[in-house]
Amino acid sequence: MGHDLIDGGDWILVILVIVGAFPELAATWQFLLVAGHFRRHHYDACAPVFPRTAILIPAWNEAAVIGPSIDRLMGLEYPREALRIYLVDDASTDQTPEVAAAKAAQYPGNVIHLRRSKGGQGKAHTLNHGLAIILDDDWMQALLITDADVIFTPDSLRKMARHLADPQVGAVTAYIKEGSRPGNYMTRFIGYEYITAQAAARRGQNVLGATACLAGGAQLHTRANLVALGGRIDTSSLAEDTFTTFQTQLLGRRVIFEPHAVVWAEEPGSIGSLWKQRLRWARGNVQVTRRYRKLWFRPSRGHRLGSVSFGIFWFCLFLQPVVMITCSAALLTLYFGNFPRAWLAFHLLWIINAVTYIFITGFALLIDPKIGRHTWRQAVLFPGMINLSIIIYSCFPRLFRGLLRGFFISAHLYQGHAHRGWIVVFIYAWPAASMAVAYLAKVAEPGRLGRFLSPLLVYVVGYGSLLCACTFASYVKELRKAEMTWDKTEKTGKVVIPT
Amino acid sequence: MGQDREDGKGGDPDVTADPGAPRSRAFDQEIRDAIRYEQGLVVKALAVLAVVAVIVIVRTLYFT
Repeated sequence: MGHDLIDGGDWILVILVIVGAFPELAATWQFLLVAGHFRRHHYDACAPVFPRTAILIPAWNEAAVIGPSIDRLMGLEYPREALRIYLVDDASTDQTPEVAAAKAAQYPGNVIHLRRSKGGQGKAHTLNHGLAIILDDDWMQALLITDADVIFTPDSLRKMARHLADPQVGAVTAYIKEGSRPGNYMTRFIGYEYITAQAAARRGQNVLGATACLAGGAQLHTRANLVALGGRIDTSSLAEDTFTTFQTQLLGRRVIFEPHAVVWAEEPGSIGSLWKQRLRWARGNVQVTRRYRKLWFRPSRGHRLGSVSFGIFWFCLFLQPVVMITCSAALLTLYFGNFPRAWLAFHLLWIINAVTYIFITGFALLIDPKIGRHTWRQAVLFPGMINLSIIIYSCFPRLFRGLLRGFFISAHLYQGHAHRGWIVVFIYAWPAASMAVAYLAKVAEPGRLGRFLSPLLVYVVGYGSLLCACTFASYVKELRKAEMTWDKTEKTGKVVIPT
Repeated sequence: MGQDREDGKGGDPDVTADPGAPRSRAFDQEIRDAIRYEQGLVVKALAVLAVVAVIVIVRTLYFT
């Protein structure tokens, strides 16, 4: 009886280890949904409509990028009389007001410069300043919210607007690509991440009928939707885009991702600036999860946000750090309690990870081959060198043993089964430890050695672990009720649209 | 009143598509291209799944 209980406990630990593969399995399910997009799309309801569109750009110290962005917007394949750009200058201290005034003079009636005398309250407040003025006028039929650095391809707004012919649609978002050229290792990681998180995940969400987030840099709303939202953007959180997206769907309107409307943005080029941006997003996600706690896994007729699939997608990302720590803890407990079972669980976990990794990476690179060619090295190394080694080893232990014969790994690992040893403890602890090492990369970056060491550490631990560390930090910040600060990502105008 | 004074309170602020309006050939072609791209993604997904299957088979046959 006692033995059975111990045995049962071991199996619970094995299950907890296998749960470590859930985020990858959920991502695979989302990628499989992409294949259903050719049937469940919104193109049948599209029509060539050109609603009078107000383009709202919040700007704080954007002198380096705002001029070319406005020029690009004025060059859109869209009737010029149906376009107005409202630049809301959030009390900039650089040359933004002068650039804005020059553009207003260059495009009279099309570019309107609004200035807040007191700024720094965050993007949502800046947007609301412009929104109040735009809604006070009947002219606007649709509102495009974007960022100062975002470069729209000429056909992008036209392709977004065609979905607004369907009165059930409340908002449309575009595919944002990372456009820094030549860029660096970090912008390439982000470039690949955006294939998975936008081109793939949002297609999957189109199929599901539930969208997690309108891209902050490219969201087109109908006037009716904005009025239904109360005519203002939520200012109580750090995830105003996600709140707007959820509210739109809860009010019964559809949110559409248009993958063929492409816009380019400059994304963070260092761990420090990525950390600031993603901490803000992750804290926003904690706030969204809490605010909509009665929504999850409760299917409704009015919207699909409560569907089981959407809940799994959301929580597999949201809880990934918890899953990784639990997985490591269960493996280490088994290591000391029932070593053969630990090996079985470890092997199963990494076989699943290997299969999902190959499928997701291969398919993602094919979904957007142009970006794929630019970022394939980062795609391959997305899980990090150590995780990649574990994946290869899990699939081909004999091959690995042969290749590394005489090295320390073969002394401890697979010879038909695993042997105890410090290297095994390290591998079992790695899912959790990788987040700590990723944090170390962030801490080390500003130092003299960090310039070389930190990129190397990111390649070793993986970009995914870096994002998980950031999500974990967001839990801590929210638990401590840390102040909500808007740390703006610095933009320097490096975006080059590939020809 | 809009800045260009072309519109007033009596204007229709809703987005509407005129169902009688002719759809240009270019527009229809663009929609067909988009759908064709989405269909191509099915083929790509199947191709990658096939590669995964081959790896699993090779691994099962030769590396266990």
